[in-house]
Amino acid sequence: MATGEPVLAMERADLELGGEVAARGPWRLAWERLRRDRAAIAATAFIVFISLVAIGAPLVAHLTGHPPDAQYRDTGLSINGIPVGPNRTFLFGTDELGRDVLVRVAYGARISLLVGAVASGLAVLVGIAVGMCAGYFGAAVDTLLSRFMDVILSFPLLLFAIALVTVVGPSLPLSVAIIVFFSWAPVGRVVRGQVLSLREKEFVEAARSVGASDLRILAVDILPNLAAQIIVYATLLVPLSIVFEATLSFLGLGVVPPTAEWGSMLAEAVSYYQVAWWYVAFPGAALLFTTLAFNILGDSVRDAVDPRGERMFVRG
Amino acid sequence: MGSGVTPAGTGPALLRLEEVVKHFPIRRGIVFRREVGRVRAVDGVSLEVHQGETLGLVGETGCGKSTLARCMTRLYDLTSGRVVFDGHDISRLPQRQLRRLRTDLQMIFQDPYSSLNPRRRVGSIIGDPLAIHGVADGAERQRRVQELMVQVGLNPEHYNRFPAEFSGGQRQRIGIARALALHPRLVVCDEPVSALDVSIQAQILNLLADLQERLGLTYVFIAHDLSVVRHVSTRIAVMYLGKIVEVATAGDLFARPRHPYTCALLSAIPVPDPDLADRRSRVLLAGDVPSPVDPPAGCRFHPRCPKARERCRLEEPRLERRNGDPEGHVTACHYPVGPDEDLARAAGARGDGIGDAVGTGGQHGDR
Amino acid sequence: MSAALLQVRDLRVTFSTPDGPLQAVRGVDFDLPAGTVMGVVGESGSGKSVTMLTVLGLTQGAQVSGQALFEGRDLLAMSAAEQRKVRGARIAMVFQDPLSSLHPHYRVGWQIAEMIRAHEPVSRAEARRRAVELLAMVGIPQPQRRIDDYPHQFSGGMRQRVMIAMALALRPRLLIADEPTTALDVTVQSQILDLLRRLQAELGMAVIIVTHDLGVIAEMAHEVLVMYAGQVVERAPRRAIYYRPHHPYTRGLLESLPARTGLPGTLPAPGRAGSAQRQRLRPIAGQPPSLIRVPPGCPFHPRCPFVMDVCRREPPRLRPVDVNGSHESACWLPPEAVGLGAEADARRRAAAGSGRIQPAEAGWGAA
Repeated sequence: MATGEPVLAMERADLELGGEVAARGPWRLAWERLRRDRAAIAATAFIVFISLVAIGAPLVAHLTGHPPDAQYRDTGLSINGIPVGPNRTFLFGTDELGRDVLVRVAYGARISLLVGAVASGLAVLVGIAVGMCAGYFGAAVDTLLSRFMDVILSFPLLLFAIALVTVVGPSLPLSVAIIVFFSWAPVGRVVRGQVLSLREKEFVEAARSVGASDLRILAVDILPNLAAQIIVYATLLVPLSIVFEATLSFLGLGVVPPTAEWGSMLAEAVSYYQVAWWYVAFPGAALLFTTLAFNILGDSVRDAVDPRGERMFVRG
Repeated sequence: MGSGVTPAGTGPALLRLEEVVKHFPIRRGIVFRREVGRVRAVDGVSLEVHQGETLGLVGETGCGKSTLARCMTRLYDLTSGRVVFDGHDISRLPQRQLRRLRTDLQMIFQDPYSSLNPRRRVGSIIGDPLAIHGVADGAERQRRVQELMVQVGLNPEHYNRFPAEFSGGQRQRIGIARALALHPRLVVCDEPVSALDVSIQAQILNLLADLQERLGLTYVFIAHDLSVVRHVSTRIAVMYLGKIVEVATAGDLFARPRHPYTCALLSAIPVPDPDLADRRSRVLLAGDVPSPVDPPAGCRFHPRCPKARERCRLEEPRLERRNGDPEGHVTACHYPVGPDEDLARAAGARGDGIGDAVGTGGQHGDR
Repeated sequence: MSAALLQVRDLRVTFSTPDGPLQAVRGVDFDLPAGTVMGVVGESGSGKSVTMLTVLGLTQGAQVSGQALFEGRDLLAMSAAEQRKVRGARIAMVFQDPLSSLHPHYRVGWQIAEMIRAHEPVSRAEARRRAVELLAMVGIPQPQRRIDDYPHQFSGGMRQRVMIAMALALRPRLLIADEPTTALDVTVQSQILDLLRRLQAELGMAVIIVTHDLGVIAEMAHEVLVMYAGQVVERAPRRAIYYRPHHPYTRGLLESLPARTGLPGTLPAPGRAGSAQRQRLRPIAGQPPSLIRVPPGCPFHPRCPFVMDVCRREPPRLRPVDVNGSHESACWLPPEAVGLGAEADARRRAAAGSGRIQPAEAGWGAA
């Protein structure tokens, strides 16, 4: 039974006769939808821009000649010690210690983007692992893991963060850990829900009928179907992580001064807003636009990957 | 257990089911989930499938045929009963040993749109069995997959495409190719053409027939469309509410159905022939198909049966040969329909069939 | 001869998709006399459902041209408000899946009563009384009790009856049923069809049944339209379609049905011993065409075994194939080329003459 002849020549002809408009896989289709989305393009452009700024922060420092932590008390502060507004030397003005706000915003971008990417990536990984186990294996495993997720979700965020920072001391890795700790559970919940429904799909049954083991089904059949949701979630988790991190720093729980960071800059700027609007405006705008860009991109990715409400017509 | 006796001329039993039962418990409660009821999907089925034949399995919603199919291929664990495949009792085998069984016993699924993973390429889907059982690797696997694709009438160059890029009929071919990858002996086809357009149905049915001839396959063919089943089957088993009510060769079943439910089913099939449709007398049943959670006592069909009498309410009939029937034609009925009996008149006499029921307050589960 | 209740002229519906304009309906013409039943047969992609939805004004986001004259007024030219007045009161529609067309959160009686009150100034009590009457008319037992139930508390067949009751609430002159029984079991299906036939006769309504099931059409319709690729390819009275089809698509469809085996002019039925020599069905080669890139000339030509050169160039229009014009076919083959079976096919081949191409012929030979 090694070789089989074609069953019917005319059935081979199936494929040449009509019916096929364009052969495109689901990823390609998603990509094309995304490409056509203007908002997504704008958002991506901004993200690329801010990433370049973050990567090139030392270049910014070099070009302006102002290192991020250097305090220019004579040129950067007025007679009364008030920060100087945007001028030819300091394009974004200075802060309360006479430091160049532009350069600090650029360096702050590094922290925000790094934390955003790493924290959201880790949270998603943990969430997937837990969610898949809970959803696929069900019963006791599911109960255990779901209750665990519920516990995590009911933790008081601020108290926990304050307590940890007090005990361990503020640092960037700790900030990332805290963010991951609070972000993975919602991802886990969503993934669990998805896996629960995927598990009942006929193609999973088909895989089992062919003899696939649970592990193989999880890796080969279920995971690729989660990929779409995961990408969406990851993209939307980034702005959340960025804001979370900025909040921690704002409260003094994040990075240690004098490290430049948007949240801690805003914390200081609040006291100076009446006399130094630029000190609030520029870090604030940077935070706002970065978050906005990621949110828009995340929405567009979700629409591209899982378009609903696009069914305009009835088959028949 | 003397049901489904071997008709003359067919081979030994490749698959035998003995009093197979499959119940799904219904649980309520938050912490301690108590069982408050059971869905009696399959409630004592005994059948034999002979080498080389096609056993058709028909029934309507809730009859349990899909569940039975999954019990046959051990995708479900049995609540009780035995499944014997090629002489080996596979009823209680653990998953690891069952995996080896998969090479001989395969399944084709109903919905070509959901039985293929939309995120996997077609070559990978068809090659899955080969990968799992370590039969072939890399280039060799690809070659075999492409061979299979040709065998089922697909273009082997579409190896790397996704299921969404194929039509319904082509997707069903992919599912068939996957089922054949390991050269099985028995293939359970769960409504393989129900979701397809009429003109494609015929192509797929022809394909299945060709493959059976060429590869010496045995089929269990499940469908709700009796005309399709009649075309493909050697023998047909009719199911109702988790039990088999009649088994006969295809010709016999259509020429002389004995069970009232079979008669009703046959008379209900829309026939694409206006003269026949006008002439035909319909047996209209009362109410809708009841739920398998709470099946009627005695003969399960009695609330809807035009011929039901006292005995039917009390005693469940056995599946056995009735007077005048050939060997292998078995019926589970106390008062089987005779050759000259006009069941339609009996049904008609009870009103238009709606709201009337013999004996106990009618629509069991019909809400 | 009653004037036509519904006259559709050159209906065209196009949807814009990212891949280009999709021509779902490409020039449909038909007349529906009052009080008759018309069956519209086609597979998926034939445009049958879109045609009906468009007539009712229910297609969003499409470019529509043509006319749909109902009782002399053009439905397509009406404002949305006027269309709403016609929908429900004069023309009603029943869909395939009653679970998604009945609102799950409102009681059934309330839904019917609301519909009545939306069109007629009656009191709540009066509307409710009429709703109970309607439920009784469609054969729902204990209607006074069931009127306060929610849709999910009904079984599939019962829900479809409720849908029919709602559709008939205002005594429409035209009922459009889109695959009304496809989702139902065959025994329930025959109940529903019986009900529709009875109501149609009692109320004197015109009914359009849209379905892919040729068996249903044989039972219900007076006249049949066969649709393919957005066009009507054949129109004929019931018996003519089934016994003397002209268009090769209709012929192909009828010949590919397993249900037709054993009927005159078709394959013989399986013998008493079962289908030992399984006959192959004669399917139509290939698949329905893309509605975005429609093939030039006749849309069926890539699959037609009797294709001629002219078929590839020019799309045929509906032309009469009998003397009184009741039977029309959109085909270049001459009117004598009607019927099923070897003899009819020979006539077709002879008529097609030297205009045929070889490969399609060879393909059919291999069947």
